[in-house]
Amino acid sequence: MIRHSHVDYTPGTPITERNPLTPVGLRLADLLAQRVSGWGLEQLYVSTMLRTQQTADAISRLLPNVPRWDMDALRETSISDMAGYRGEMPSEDLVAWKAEHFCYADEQMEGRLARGWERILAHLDASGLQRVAIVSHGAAMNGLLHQFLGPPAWNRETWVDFYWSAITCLEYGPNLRRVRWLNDSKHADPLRQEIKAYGATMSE
Amino acid sequence: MSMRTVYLLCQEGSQIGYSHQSDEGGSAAELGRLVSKRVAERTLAWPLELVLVGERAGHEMAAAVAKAHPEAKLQTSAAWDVAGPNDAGFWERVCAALDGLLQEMDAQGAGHVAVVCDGRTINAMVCHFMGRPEPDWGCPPFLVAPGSTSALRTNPESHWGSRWVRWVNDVRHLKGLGLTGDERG
Repeated sequence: MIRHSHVDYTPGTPITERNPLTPVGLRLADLLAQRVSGWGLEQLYVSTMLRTQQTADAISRLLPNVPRWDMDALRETSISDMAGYRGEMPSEDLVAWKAEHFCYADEQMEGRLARGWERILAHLDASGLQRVAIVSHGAAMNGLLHQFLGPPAWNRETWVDFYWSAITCLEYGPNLRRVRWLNDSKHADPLRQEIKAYGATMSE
Repeated sequence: MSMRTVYLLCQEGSQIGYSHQSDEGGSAAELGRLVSKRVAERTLAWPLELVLVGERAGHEMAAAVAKAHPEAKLQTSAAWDVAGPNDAGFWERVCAALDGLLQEMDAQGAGHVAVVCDGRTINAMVCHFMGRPEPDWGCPPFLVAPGSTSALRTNPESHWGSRWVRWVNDVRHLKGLGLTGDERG
């Protein structure tokens, strides 16, 4: 499970479905791709948002024969999750959202993540694939991690601080669900200072 | 209150996820010392103020870490010990110990504390911190290799939540020892 590479989320920058990777984020995606290139990946499941697509593109350039399944279910909270909301519709910039907007959208996201997770597991079971990668987003990956671990649902009080392009390895089998490691971003070390210059995040 | 970070250092000889293979050979004692040394070096990146360890094991690693941080206090407590054969209260003990530590860090203004303990204790702490129930100890949810580091952070000022798992089972400092058997590179 891989978080997308670096995006400029510094104050004043709108957060939408279309934030692109920064120049350093594109280079970090290449380092990520080099790191995973020897892991025998057989399938990529990728969120359809721009930042995850760009991250997966770096992997696909090195591993062009690995099939890729672009999945809306793996997207981050966005204006798309506000469909059916009965109150005043917010702008697409998440920075301007109020708590009630997140409350509604997060519930929608939880449902689609659960459905997406089940589709991935069903695909794994049907295909017999052994090594696959999910490329998604910070909050979505928190939700997916709790899907993987089983009930209770994610309480949103404790977050995993997924770093840009960080890798989490989940081991799944008939009688096994184990996190082999969580939030490994060693490949980002050469660029960490450059990324830090964009502004503080929890992950520094 | 500001940010507090608890680093969880898996003591040498812990059995969870241990492949028992060393590229460098040597006795278990020598390997244990080498692992402790590598862990202590890894912690130099963190300004530790306190090093905690159980009463029954982990002393060599805790001493190495404390030596690398001359300003840090070293404290021993049974609260961090591995589960004994009749330790029915293990989960409750570890959860209470972590909660107590976080409260104490707030009270003392301590920002960076390391706990040297075994993989099962680390599993208990991470699960409790994430708001999860006691796991099935026959198949703990997190692989925690001996000599690995994990980190938990509280940040009441964070916009998105006050508790953060920063990482689990980082072994970058153990490269070449052949301990973990994982392929992450």
